[in-house]
Amino acid sequence: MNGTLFEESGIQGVMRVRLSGAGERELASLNDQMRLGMSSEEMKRVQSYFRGLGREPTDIELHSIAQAWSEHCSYKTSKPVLRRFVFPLAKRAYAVGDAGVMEFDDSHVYSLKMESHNHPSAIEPYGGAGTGIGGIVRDILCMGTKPVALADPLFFGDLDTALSELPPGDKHPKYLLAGVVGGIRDYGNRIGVPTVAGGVWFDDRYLSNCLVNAACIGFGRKDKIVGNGFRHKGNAIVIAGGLTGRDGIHGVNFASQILTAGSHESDRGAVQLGDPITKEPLINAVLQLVEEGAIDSMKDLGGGGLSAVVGEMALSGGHAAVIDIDKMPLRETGMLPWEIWVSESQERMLLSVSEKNLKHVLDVFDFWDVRASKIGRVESGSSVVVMHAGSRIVDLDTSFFVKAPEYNRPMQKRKIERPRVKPIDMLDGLNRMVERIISDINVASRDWIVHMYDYEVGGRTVVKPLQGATGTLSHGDASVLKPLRDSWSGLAIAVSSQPWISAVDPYQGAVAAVDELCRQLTAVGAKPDAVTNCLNFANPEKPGVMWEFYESVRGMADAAARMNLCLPSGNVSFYNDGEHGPILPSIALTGVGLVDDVRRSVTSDIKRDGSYLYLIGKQDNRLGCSELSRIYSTGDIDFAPVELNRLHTLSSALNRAMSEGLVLSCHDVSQGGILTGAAEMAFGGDTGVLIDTTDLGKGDIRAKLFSEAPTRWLVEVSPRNSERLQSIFGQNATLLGTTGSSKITIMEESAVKYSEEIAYLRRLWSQPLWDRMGSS
Amino acid sequence: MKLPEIRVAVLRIEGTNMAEEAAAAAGASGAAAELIHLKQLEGRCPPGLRRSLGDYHMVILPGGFSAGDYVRAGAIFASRIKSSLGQEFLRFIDDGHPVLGICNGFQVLVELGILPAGGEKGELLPKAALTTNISTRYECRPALLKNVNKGHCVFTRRIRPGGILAVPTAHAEGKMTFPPGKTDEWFARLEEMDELVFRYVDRSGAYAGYPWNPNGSVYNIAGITDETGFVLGMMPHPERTYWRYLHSDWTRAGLEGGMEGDGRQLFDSAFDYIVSKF
Repeated sequence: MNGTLFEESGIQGVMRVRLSGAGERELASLNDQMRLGMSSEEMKRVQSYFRGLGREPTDIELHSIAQAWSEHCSYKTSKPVLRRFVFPLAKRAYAVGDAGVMEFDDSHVYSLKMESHNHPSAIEPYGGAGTGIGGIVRDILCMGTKPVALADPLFFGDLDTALSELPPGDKHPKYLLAGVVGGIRDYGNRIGVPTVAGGVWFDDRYLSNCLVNAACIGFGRKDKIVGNGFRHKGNAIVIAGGLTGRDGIHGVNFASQILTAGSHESDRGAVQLGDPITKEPLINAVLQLVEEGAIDSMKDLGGGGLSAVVGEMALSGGHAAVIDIDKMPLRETGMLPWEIWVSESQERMLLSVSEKNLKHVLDVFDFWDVRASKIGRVESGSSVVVMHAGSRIVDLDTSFFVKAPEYNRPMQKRKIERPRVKPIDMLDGLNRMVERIISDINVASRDWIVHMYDYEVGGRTVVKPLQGATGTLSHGDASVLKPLRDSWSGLAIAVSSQPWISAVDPYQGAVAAVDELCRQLTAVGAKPDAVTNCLNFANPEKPGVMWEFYESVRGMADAAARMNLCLPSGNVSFYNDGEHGPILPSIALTGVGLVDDVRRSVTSDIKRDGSYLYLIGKQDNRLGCSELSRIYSTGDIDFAPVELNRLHTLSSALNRAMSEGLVLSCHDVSQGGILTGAAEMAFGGDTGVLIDTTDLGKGDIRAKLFSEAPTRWLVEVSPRNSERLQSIFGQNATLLGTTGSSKITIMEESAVKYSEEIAYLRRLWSQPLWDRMGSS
Repeated sequence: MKLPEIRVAVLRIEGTNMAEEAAAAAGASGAAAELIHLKQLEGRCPPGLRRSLGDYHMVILPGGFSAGDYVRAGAIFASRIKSSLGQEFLRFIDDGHPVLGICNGFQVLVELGILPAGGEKGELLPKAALTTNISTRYECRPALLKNVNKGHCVFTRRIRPGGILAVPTAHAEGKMTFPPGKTDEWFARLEEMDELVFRYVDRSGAYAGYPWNPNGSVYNIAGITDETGFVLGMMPHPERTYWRYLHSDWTRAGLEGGMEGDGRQLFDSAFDYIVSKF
């Protein structure tokens, strides 16, 4: 490296960089040495900016730009696609910003946002997952809404991976699962926000790069919603919360590159440290100040640290900011100004407060023992200025610095090869097949995880994630919250993803994920209203991956538009790739549905003997991308695609049937098909079911029972209401059988094809995670 | 005194995250509940926020992770109460004021040495411990409790003896543990002094092992009172089944029987007592 590019600036701790004369190789070497993570075009763009100013940059200025232009902060790859398909679907939002805000009733709103914390969790699962929760909670908070629920879609490699098969540097999926769940548990439970929904997917292709997506739902009043920009000249800029240290430096650059074997050691410093017991009082203090109207605007410090937040608040509020970096409260001594400026230390919020309210704001933080300091002021203009030791060490035009160049990266459609499919006749008989599917790790009970989350702190969780009789809880489809004491209106929350369909056809995979989400929300009695998402992909600089991304976004948007779902917030995570290869394209969705009256909520457990069990929806025996085809490696990728019109019609019809009180229990048909759905209903209600597959049409009984065709539900109805139900659904309701006994029995053409005790099947279904994870 | 005149302090420090539900429960029963930071009783706050124990008729130590529970659960909150309120807190109880410790609050009462009592007044030194669950981890679970108190505890006056309540648990350290070799002796003493209040049972009402007993507590102990009967410490959360629609299985039984949940009876019992006593 040509060391002569750096020279003393005459200001302590700040170097000047002689950029103007640097050639291409010097720029590249500077990029590496400073770990800027920029492309050569981007370096040249920065060079010409400073040439235009007629001066050389400081090191801290280059770090500022590099942070802001990282994929993580700027969405430079995804924004053109999102702008085309997704942003138009935010129109119904009450407000957008760090989180999407939606109307709940005349005076209340709810907010929603999801974010990935994939790379930190792959390296340090406990801390990575915990700070993922911490970050998403701050996003909800800084809209002026109270965090009321968490939901977490998680994706890991195969738990049975032999240690000898583990690629160099990668951590075993068991270690990652235990660490991630532990991190969510200890952070979420400690700050008192219930984790009410989630999903876990296991596949070999997440071996090198697990996915940890965290969603938070907030609740608040319309008249208290707070913006995220610097809007008023003369306001004080206040930092509140945790101290600033060297943790998380260059976290955004680390998130914008693929993981290598070396990452596990060298990038540990890019993982931040969470502290829920600083966060809990910070939440209390901020909510009190929101209630009092004492905060003009705020934003949380996440990726890119203070640099990113000051830049984004200045840009969105149309004002300049002057920060005195020497006023920052630090955790350690000897930090250079640029390190303070880009540190991603956790539990920090930046507030814009009028001088009139400043003393009160500082007093309230003091009462809660939360550190808060004025570190700057809002000015008119369009620049971001940082002062240190009396000198100006950053002076950047806001829009140049914050608005990264965008890319329309090349795409290449993947050719789908139709493999030869192993015929179903060659597979196990029904008995053995039921047992294998019900005990498969992707179907088996999640109670090992769910019980570790406090799903009811806050006293709002009316329908819990595990449903049924005490002692025999089973999987529900969604949870329901009752956010107001004096209203019966509720919010339903569910999570979905269809990575295996996405791997074959990313457009259809995204549509299928929306279908699943709508099924789950309607299954408890909600009208699907808004969706937040994490779009997890591999390296977008590869045209095939870029195509997957584009198609997924297009599919998600088409499905959301047809279902009148608002998409007010979301997140993109690229570069999920590692030694074992890229991840499956993974659209993780967290949806919120509105419930008119929580007293009408429906759970999945069978309620009584002698009810009728109906299939709602259209039977389709195709088995592509199903649990069955994966377990038996049939190679079948011929799946039944979603028909959005049917989804729309049946969702509304199910809402109507539930509002009339016709439905005793309901469960959507998803992984493991009708048989798994019915079994989970039987487990929760500790009541058996007899299913006759004759009316499901022609075909192998195994295909009928294990097909995962979309837009289907199982509903339990009292015999006296069956006529009414059939008049609502017409051809879309098929009588499958009756409830009762202690067995699950399958009949066809008047012959018993399968019969087994619930207690036996429940054991097979409930043990797999406990057997693998023990009591860790 | 009348019900609306009852003032309840729900005491919190950082990490005490279930104060609002406890206050909402007390408020829904008709009392006036106030969230109080321990600093306000210590005087480490602006003058207008200063409070004193004498302003209240009842104290609730709510659930949560006070100070993070990074050492033994409840230990830091207990030591702060000990150093700032100390004897004043014991006098508050002796004067007949109910104290309800829920989950982390129970852990605080055990760390304070107020529970278990065994007929003897606490000396602010712990005599037993709430140790790590038999599952070795934090768990949130529905639980069923049998009321085994014979009339000594003021929190169960409205509950039928032997009656079973659905009151869920959510903790990592809730296993009632006595000094080695002293378990049977302690249990007998608690039974003799009528200081046992709630024990975990299964669906049939029988004493059963994990997960019906969610933490492996000895003799299925879920909640106990002290020698005065004014204190109740329990791991399960009565505020979480204050309303019927918060019960984990309400969609099975329906809401036709009314909105009052099982947990409400504890609050109403205590308020009955306060109304009659003061």
